[in-house]
Amino acid sequence: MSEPLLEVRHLKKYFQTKKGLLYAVDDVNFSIEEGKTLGLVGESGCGKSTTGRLILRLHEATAGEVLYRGRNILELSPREMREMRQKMQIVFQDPYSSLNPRMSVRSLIEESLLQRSRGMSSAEREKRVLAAMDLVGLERRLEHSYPHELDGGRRQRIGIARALILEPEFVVLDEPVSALDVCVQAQILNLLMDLQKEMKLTYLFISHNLSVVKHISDQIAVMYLGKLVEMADHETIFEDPKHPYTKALLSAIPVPDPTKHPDRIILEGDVTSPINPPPGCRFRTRCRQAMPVCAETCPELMQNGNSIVACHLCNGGQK
Amino acid sequence: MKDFLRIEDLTVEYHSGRRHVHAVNGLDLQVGEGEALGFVGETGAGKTTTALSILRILPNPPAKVLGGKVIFKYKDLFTLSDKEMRAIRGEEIAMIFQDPMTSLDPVKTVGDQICEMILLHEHCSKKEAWEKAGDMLETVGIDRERAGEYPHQFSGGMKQRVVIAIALSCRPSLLIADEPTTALDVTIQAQILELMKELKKKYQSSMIMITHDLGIVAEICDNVAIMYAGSVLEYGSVFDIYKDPRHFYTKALFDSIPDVSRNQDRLKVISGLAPDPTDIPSGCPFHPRCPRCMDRCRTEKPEAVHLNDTHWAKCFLAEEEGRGSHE
Repeated sequence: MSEPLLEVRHLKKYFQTKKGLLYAVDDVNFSIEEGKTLGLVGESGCGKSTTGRLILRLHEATAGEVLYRGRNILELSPREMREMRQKMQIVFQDPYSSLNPRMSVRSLIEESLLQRSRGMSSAEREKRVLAAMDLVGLERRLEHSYPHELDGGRRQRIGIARALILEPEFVVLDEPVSALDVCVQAQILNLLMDLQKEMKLTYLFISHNLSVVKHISDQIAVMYLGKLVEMADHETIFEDPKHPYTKALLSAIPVPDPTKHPDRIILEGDVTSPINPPPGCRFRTRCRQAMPVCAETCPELMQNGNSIVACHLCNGGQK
Repeated sequence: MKDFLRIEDLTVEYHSGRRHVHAVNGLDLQVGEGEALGFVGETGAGKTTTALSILRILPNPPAKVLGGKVIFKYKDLFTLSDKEMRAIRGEEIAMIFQDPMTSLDPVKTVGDQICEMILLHEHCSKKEAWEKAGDMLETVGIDRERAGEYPHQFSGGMKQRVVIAIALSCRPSLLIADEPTTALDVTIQAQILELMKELKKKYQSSMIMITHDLGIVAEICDNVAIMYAGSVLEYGSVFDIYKDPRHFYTKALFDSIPDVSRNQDRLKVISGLAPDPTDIPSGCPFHPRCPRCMDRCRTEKPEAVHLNDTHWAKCFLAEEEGRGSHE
């Protein structure tokens, strides 16, 4: 097995709020091998985007380590981190609000270059910008267009070009297709997969949509209220989900087939507040199979067949 | 009632500067009593514009209805006076909008917002209305004690339940739901869909469900209309459309859904882009992206080919395609 490119250890992020501590990310561990994709799935507010931002140090972690090729990047100085960011990039969710409306396509893509490669001639920069546009399938004639003139798919291509022009090794994709139509979504997903092969990229793909994640990921991690509840390779998660939350999440996807009506597990209520969560398993308030032990201790992630699961019920027999 | 809602040759344009955006182009459609119709299409296909024209709440200007009829219970809605129309809105036809965060008034309690609707349409005292509002909240699964709370005190899923309660408070016979679950998480979406299915059974109301999610349609609708560039390209029962799609656009739409139950390396995509609504292609609007485009598709608009009592597709190859798929 190859060395992991990125390893996250005991990563924590707590936000101080008026009502108390908000446990956005609470002791998350995972690693991603070079050239692979980890899909991070969960509902809004589960801490998946925060995790992505912590890795790039767009938020400072409360505790934990992020090892990039064995080096803890949370200890780097701001200058060293700037160097590092050349290798680590992010594509944001909403192509409508993440691009400056007053900048042309060319200057938007060039901007990343200006930050990193001082002293590059403008001719060289233009060449790189056009090459990046070709790479992500943006027509060259759009060089001087502005974001509002383009559709969502093309805008997201600008976001991808901005991230890839620096030739990174690792990219955080934060819900890159959630704001797009199904047909355009398929185009962008295919593009991301092609680019991964071509440039040997490693992805952290954050999404709330399990069917999108399945398609692109090698490994899938399911998050609930700041904690990982289950992690497995993409086939195992879909064929043999273990955690009650994963099962509920899977059964909630509407199936485009009128003859199949899956036995849906409807979760009661909403996600509980991450502010001062009660002790024990965070999911227990919505779990149908909650047992007394779930209220006492928080289940640890444990190997269970091909998956790693944090659930007293699933891991009960293993002890 | 067969002619519960009938839309005939509806044409709507948006005027922006010198450009004319052809949002809806000669749309024909029927919804039967108690029927749930799924309205499927990409962004800009004209789904919402059609819904807003039924209720006559299109912003005018820039929108303009150029022609067509909307016949609801034997009445042509476009010929009614504003006063008559107001009586229909909310009482007969109600609408649920996409984003529950913006469709509720932040400075009024949810109870008041439901009462507003009841007081407008029914002759009753404020106290009775408040009582009814409480009943409505219970119907959608919210404690009646929460009627005195403000929208910000509710989560996204709960807000959408409040919106549904408002829409159903006068027992409309037609409910238009415009992407009611797009802004919600999957597990909450499942709750809301379950609720809508229950309420549909309970109230026997007709429904138009606007969505781009073919999964939702399969679950809740009886019939489906596939919209593209302002017109319906294919129409039929969910079984016909999902099991035997005849229009190439419908087929392409199904192919581009990432399917959780299948292992596939690449997603199939529709080549090209959705048409520019200021310049709809001549002939069949899908012809520039169609894999089987013929010469006559470029110039001649295909008429609906009826495949059975309910199923039709506007494609010259619709019949032939059927034979191919049965072999």
